[in-house]
Amino acid sequence: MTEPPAPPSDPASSAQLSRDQALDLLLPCGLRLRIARDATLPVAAVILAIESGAEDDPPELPGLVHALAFHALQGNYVLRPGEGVETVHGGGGVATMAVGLGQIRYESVLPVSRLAEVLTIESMRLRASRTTASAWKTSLAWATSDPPRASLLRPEALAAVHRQPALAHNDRAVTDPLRALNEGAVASLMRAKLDYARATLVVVAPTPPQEVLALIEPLFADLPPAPRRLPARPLAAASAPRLTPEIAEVGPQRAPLLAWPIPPAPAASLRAHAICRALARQRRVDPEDRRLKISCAIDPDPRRGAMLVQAVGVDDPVAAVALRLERLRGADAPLLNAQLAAAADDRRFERRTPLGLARQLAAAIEPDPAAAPATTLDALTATGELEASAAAFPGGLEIGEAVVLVRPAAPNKTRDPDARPAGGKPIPGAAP
Amino acid sequence: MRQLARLASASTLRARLTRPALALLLGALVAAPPVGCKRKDQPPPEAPIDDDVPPETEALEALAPPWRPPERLVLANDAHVHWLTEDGALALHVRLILPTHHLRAAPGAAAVAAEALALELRRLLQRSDIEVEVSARVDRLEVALHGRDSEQGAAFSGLARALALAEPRALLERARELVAANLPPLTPESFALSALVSGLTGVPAAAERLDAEALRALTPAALGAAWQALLDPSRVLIVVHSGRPSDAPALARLISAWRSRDADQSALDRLASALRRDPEPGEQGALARIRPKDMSVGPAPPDHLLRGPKAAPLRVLQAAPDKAGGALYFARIIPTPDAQQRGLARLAQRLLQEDLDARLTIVGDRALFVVRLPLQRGQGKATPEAEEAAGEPPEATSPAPEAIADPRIRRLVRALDTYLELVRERPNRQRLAQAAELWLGARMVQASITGEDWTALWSDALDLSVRDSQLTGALARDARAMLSQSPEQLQAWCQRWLDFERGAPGWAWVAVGGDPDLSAALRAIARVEALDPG
Repeated sequence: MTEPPAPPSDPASSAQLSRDQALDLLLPCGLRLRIARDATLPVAAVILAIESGAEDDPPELPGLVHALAFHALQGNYVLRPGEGVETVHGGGGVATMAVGLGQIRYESVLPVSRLAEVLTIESMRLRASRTTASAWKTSLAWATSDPPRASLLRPEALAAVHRQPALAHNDRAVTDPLRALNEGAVASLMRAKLDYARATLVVVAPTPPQEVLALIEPLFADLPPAPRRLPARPLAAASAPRLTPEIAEVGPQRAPLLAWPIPPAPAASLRAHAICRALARQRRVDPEDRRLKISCAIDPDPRRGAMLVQAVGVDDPVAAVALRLERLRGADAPLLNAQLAAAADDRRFERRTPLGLARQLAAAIEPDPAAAPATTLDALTATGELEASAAAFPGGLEIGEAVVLVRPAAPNKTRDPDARPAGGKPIPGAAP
Repeated sequence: MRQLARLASASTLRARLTRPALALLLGALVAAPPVGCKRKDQPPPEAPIDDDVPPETEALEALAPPWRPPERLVLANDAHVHWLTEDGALALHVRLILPTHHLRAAPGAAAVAAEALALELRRLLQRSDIEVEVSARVDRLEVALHGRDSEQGAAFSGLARALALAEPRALLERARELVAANLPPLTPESFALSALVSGLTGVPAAAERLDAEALRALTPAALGAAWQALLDPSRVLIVVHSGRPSDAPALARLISAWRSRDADQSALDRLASALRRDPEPGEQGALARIRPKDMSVGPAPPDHLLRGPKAAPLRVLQAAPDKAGGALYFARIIPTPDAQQRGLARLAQRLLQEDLDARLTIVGDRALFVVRLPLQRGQGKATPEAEEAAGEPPEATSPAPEAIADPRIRRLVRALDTYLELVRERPNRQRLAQAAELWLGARMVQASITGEDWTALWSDALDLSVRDSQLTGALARDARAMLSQSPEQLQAWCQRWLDFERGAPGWAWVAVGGDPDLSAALRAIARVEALDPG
C-alpha cells in the first residue's frame, strides 16, 4: 500500500485541540505522526511503531525482523549503542520493545523533561545503523536470549488461521543464515524492513500537541521525501464462501478450537472483544446440552490478531458455536450491542494513561486518503461509531469464516464415531 | 513483549483560595441546582490558604502533578475528606488514610482490621470493576479503591456499608488468618532493624514487628477494639481523585452509615447528612490526625557518634547460624523542617544509593536514615576475589583496617571508611542533577504506569508536609528543592548529618549475624552490647 506524501498540516490550523482530539498527519519523509495530550501527570509516552514483523521474514531468513529490531538498538553515527534506553532510564523512565507478527514497537514512558531528547533519539533510530560484524553478533545474542512471543497459537496454527504461510515459522529463531549475513546485507535489510516510511511516531504528552509537533518536524526535515511504504496485509479469505469452517490439523489441544482472523483495524478487534464478551454471557437455551461450556479469548496481536472460541461438553462443538453465533445475529443482538458498548468503554478506560493511549494510537490503521482525516480519539481508536465495527469484522459471526484447529489424527487410528464428546480444558485466559 | 529494563526506584504563585467554613445541611445541597456545592451566590469561601501552589505548567515543569487545591470537607461524623478533581478523568480513586499510632499497644490488630475492611469491600464490590488495595506506610495503613468514575455511586455505597459494620467478628477472624498466612517470617535482620529504629524513634520495637504467633494471640475483643479505633471517622482522612467535584449524596450516605465510635448518636442523627467545607480556624487539620502527637525524637543518646570517644555501643544480635552472612545497620534521625532540608536529605540518599544500601524515610519534619552493610561469613575465609571486591583500602581512619586481623571486620571497616569518603566528597553538579531527575522522574513514571492515581501521590505529599496548607504544593516544592541544590550545600549538609565520625551526634547501630564469634570479632571496632532476641 503506498500513498503519496502529504504535506504536514499547518499546526496553527489545528490549534485548540481538546482532550479528546489528536493530531494525525504524514510528514514528507513518509512517517505518520500521531500526537495527543494527557496532562494528568508530567509524563509522556512515545512509541515508534514500524509496520514490519514476523510475517515479513524471508523464507530463507526466519527470525530476521526480530533480530533487526534488536539491531536498531545498536545506535549509528549519532547514537551510542543503547543510548535510547539509557536516556529514558536516566530520567527515571521505562523503555520496552515489542516485536509482533506485523508490527515492531519501541515504547518509552518518560518524564516530560526528557521528551525532546527522546524524540531526537526516535528521529535517529532508523538511520544508517551500525552494521559492523561485532554489532550484528551482539544483536543476535540479544535476540537469542529473548523469550518466545506470548501467543495462544503456534506458528503453524497462526499460518492456518490467517491463511498466510509466511507465518508458519519460529519468528524468534536465530539461525545460521542469519549469522552468516555480512555487513552490507544487514545494512540493506535494515533499510528495507525498518524504514520511517513504514513507521508511525506516536506521542502522548502533557504538552500541547502543536508544541510537540513543532519539536518533531525539524528533526525529520532533513530526510528525503518518500511515499508511504506499508506492507500489504490483506485478510486472505477462504477460497470460496463456505457454510462450514475449514479444518486444519495443527492444534495441540484435545478439543477443537475455532479461530477467526481479526482484520488489522481497531474496529475489528473491538468487535471481536464484544463477540467474546457476548458469547460468555449468553444463556443456555433448549435444546442445548446442559454440559455445554463456551469460552472465548483474543490473541491480541495488533496486526494479526485472532478470535478463539472453544466449546466443550458437546458432541459437535462447531454446531454449538454456530448456533450461538446465529443467536447473536438474531435474538441476542441487543446483548452483542451492549457488549460492544462495554468493550468501547473498556478501551476508553485503558487509554486514561499516556502509555495506554499511545498503544491504541499505534494500533490505529492508516486513514483512507480519500476520507476526511480523523481527529478525535474515538474515531482513531474505533470507540465512536460502534455500528461501523460490524463492517470491520464481517466474518466474526460467520461460522464458515472460522478455521477449526484440531489435533492431527494419529496414524493408523480411525476415528470412532461413538467416541465420547470432545473434552479438554477451556483455552487459557478464556473468560473475557 | 520484552521488557528491556526498568528503572525505578515524583515561579511560585501564591494562591490564596478562601472558602467559608459553613456547615451546610445536605438537604439544602441536594435541593440546590447542580452547582450546589459551588453556589455562585455565596460569598467567596475563606480558610485554608494553600502555600506555594504552582500553576499547571509550572507543576509539570517541576515534575509534579498539576492538581488544584482539593475541596476540603469535614463530614458530620468528623471524617475529613480531601477531594481532588481532575476535569473529565475517567478513573476514580478513593483512599482511606487510617492512622495507626494510637494502636501500637496491639501490634498487628490494625493490619487485621484494615485487611477485614478490604475483604468486606471486595465482597460488596465484586460485581463492579473496582479493585481494593491495602498498603502500609509509616504510622498509617491505607485502603484504596480504584475503579471508574462512572462507578462512584457503587464505590461510596460499598464504603458506607463496610464502614457501618460495628464489630464484624467473623470477618476479623478471616482477615486475621489471611494476614497471618501472608506474613513473611520475622528474620533476625528485621528483628535487629526494628530494635535499631525503636531506639531512635522511641516507638516500642514490638509495635514495629508482626509475626503470625502474635497475631493469633490477639483476642476477638482486641480485634474488635482495633476495628473500632482504626475506623473511627474522627481519625480518618479520605482522599478522592475523581473526574467530578464532590458528590454530596454519596457523602451523605457515607455519613449516615458511618458514625463516630463514641459520638452522641442522637446528635449525629440530627446531623447525619451535614458536611462542612474546610476545617474551622483552629480546628485540627488532616495532618494533625495522621501524625502522632508524641512524635518527638526518641531516646537516642543525643551525643553518640559511631567512632571516637563518643561512639555508641554496637548492639549485636547473635542469630542462629545460617548461610546468610548478616549485616551491620547504622541509622539516625535527621530533622527535615522544610523542603530544602528534605531535598538535601533525598539527594544525599540517592547519591549514596548508587554505591551502597542507603534508605531514607521522610515523615514531615523528620526523616529516618538507615545504611545497611553486609557482613560476610566465616573468619579467615576471605578469598582473593572478595578482597579485591572490597577495593583498595581508603585513607585510613581509626581503627586502621590493616591492623585488624579478621578479614570480615577488615572489610567492614573499609566499607565504613568508603561510606565516610562518599559522605565527605563534593559531588559534581551534573551528578546532582542526574540523581534529582532520576528520583523525581521515576516517581511520576511509576505513578503513570500504575494508573495515574493522584491519591497515592497525595499520600506522598502528606509525608512531605508539616501543615495542611503545604499539601497541594508539596511535591512541586520538593522537586524544586531537589533540583536547586548546589554541590557545596549538599556537601555541607552531608558532613553535618551523615558523617558519623565528625558530624552531628545522634547515631545508633546494630549488627546481626550467625557466626558464633561475631560479637568477639566486632569488639575490634566498637564497644559491643548484646541485643536481646526476646
